Amino acid sequence: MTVDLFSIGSSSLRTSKRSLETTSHNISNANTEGFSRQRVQHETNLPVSDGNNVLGNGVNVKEVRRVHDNLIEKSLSRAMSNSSFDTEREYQLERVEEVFNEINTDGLNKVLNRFFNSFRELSNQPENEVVRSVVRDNANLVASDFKRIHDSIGNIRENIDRKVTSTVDEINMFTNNITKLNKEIVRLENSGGHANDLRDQRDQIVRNIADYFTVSTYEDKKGQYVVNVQGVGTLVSGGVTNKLLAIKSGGPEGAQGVGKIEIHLEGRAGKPVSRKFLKGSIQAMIDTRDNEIAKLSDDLDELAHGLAKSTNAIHRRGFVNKKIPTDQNGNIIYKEGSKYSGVDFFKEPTTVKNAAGMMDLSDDVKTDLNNISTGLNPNAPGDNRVSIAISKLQHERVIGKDGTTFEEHYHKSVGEIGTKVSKTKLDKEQSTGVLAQAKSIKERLSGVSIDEETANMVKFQHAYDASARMIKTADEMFDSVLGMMR
Amino acid sequence: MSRVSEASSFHAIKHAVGKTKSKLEDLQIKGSNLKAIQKPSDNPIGNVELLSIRSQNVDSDQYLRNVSYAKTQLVFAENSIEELTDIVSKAKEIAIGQSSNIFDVDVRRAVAEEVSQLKKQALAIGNRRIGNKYIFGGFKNTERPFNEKGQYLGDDNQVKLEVAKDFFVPTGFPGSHVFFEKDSSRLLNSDPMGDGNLIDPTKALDQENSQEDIVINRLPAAEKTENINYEKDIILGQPQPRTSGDVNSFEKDIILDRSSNTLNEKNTELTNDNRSVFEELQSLENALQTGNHEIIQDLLPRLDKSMNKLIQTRTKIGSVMNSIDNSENSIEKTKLANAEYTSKIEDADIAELFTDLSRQQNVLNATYKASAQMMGNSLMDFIR
Repeated sequence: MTVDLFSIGSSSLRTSKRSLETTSHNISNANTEGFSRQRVQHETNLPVSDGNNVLGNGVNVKEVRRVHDNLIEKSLSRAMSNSSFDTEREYQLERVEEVFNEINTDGLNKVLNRFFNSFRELSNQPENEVVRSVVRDNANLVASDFKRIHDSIGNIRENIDRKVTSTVDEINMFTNNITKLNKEIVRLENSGGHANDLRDQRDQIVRNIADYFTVSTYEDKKGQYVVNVQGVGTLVSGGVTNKLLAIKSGGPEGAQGVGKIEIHLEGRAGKPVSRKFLKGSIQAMIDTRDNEIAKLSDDLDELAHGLAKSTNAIHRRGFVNKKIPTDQNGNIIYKEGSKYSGVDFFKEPTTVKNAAGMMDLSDDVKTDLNNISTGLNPNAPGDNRVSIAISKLQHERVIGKDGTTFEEHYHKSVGEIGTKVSKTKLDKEQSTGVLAQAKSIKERLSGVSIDEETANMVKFQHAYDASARMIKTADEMFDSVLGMMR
Repeated sequence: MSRVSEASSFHAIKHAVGKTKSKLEDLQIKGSNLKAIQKPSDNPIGNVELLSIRSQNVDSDQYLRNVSYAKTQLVFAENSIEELTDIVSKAKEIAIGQSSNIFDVDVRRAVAEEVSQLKKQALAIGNRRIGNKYIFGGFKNTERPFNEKGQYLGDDNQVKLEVAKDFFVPTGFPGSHVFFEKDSSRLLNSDPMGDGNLIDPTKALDQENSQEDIVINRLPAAEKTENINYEKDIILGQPQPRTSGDVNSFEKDIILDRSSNTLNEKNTELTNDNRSVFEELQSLENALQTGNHEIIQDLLPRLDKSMNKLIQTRTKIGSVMNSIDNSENSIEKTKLANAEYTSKIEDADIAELFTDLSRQQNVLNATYKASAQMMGNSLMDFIR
């Protein structure tokens, strides 16, 4: 009978100690990301019968389990995808917005405006060399601002491409880790029990991936994760990883989409799947690159093209500010190699595409200020009609099918990007709110509470003390029995 | 009872502090330069409006510069013409005094000398310039418009400036118009926009290859001179259809005609009904020298005509000046209205801003305090 006391007491000691260990494990991992608190489930030992009664036989540890809810986990991962989509989109769009922000600085709007007004000034004094050079300086500013915007947008696009590439590398690393953990979990759990910490790690990795896109996972019979992306395929299936590749798209020069990074599934190089990833930072980057940035860059090209073309068309009608030899009837005598009219102001753009990046003054205007033509008549230094006409271009509806002025066209771009950023900001505020909520729901369930652990600690310690006391009592009882023999 | 874990309360604190801080930061930036708009996304529509108003303001400033430039030109021209009027009226007095056939040869010589001086003065006025720009030369304003014989070398084009959006006023007066009796046949309708056809938006950007497609009817043709757009332009006098030739050859013909006139022959001289003031003065001088009082008498109505012409021009300059003043006023008004509107969009409401700022600061403080309370306590403290 006393033997039973000893064994019950020691089972209690063991169980309390195991519980204290778990409490300690919980406390030590209170700040480990992705850690779920673990709980030791106690169970009564198999009772024994002495013939008359069924007697309790102490306690043992049934299992150590993490506190976890799959549904909460799924909604958290969805919230993460949504929030990271909005965060990334806001980040990228804000960078684009910064290019078009001229609240406190000079931008294309101001530079364009100055360009037209310098022609207006030139119409005051077409014969004035200084004003001519002001015109040329302002035109240079226009060209360089077009280039600035073109280059900045190009930079943002390249950065996105780089980021997509490194994201793909990270995804591959993560899926690879999931595969490894899958195998390890199966190995550990084969001998019974739950690989709680490894499962936490695996869930944490899935959450990391959820930052990049909406991911769907399910557990197969063996407890291994299958990671799926709708429209793309299976990235992880048990112990097998399917890699993603970031490939620069090829194709004929000048074709749409050349030089863009696209995501492919390994082994299916011909089929880009970039646009199949929903939400998360990948969709944010690809969307911004292929929609907003592409459109802005097209609009900018159209603007530059229109400006250069229409300025040139008018400018070519004028005569240069030089003595032009004429015969008695006033007809111009053309000399070899001399150009009196038909001078381009800007370099004539060849295509609409890339017009903004290629914008520059024509060589004639670059080399000689007198090639800036102001008059419709030859040998008429006071004739200001060409410069007036160019300055009037400012208010002419020349761009696009519906016909907008240059400024309106540019304002439309700025307005669009502004609206998009402000909408994205609202979306982001909302989705981060949802994310914070989802996180807190999860942490409320799975997170470690020090207070709770402290209470547990006290509780288990008392149990431990009492069990020890029990053994001591059993010992004393044993002693008294032995004393009887003396 | 909902369970609270370390991480969940940490997330709550982080979220609360982060939200308040980002709002505070936004307000602080606004407070630092008192502008409600920092980025286009702060107020996308307002931002675009702001851009277009700023453009309008720069335009207005340029138009105001054009106004003052046009005024300088006009005032200068007006003064010059006024001086010339004085000269002509002096010449007329002399002509009246010498129109009888009773005269003293010596006196006439002396008087002829005076007229010669007057002629030189008049010529100097005709060749006046602002800076290095001859004001009576039409478009050919870098060369002297009149030679010593008083022949006109400039062209017949009138320089126009845009002093308000789409509002053009003439600022240059070609000598062929001011100093000759008949201006109508000579003043070209030089539409500053090349008859409005200089910009043809439909054709400007049509095709890649059609570089020459912009249609311009550059030199106003004879028939076109009648179709003057009175809304856009203030035209002096009524232009009449031209007969033949282009500007230069036409110009040259006239000059040749004039120079072939021998000034002493009364018939050819006075039947030419379009002579310059300088030529009239020259005739007067010649007549005084030769003592031909008939010519002097014939010259009297012609000098009157010249003077009328000058006065007429001055009146017209005056009316142009008036219209410039009007548009200047309206530009100033627009600027003022724009400034007000800009401030409405762009300037932060200071009272509201700082109220918000201090409120957010309070919120932040409260968040800190609450968080500190939450983080500072633990069951541990009560277990000994």
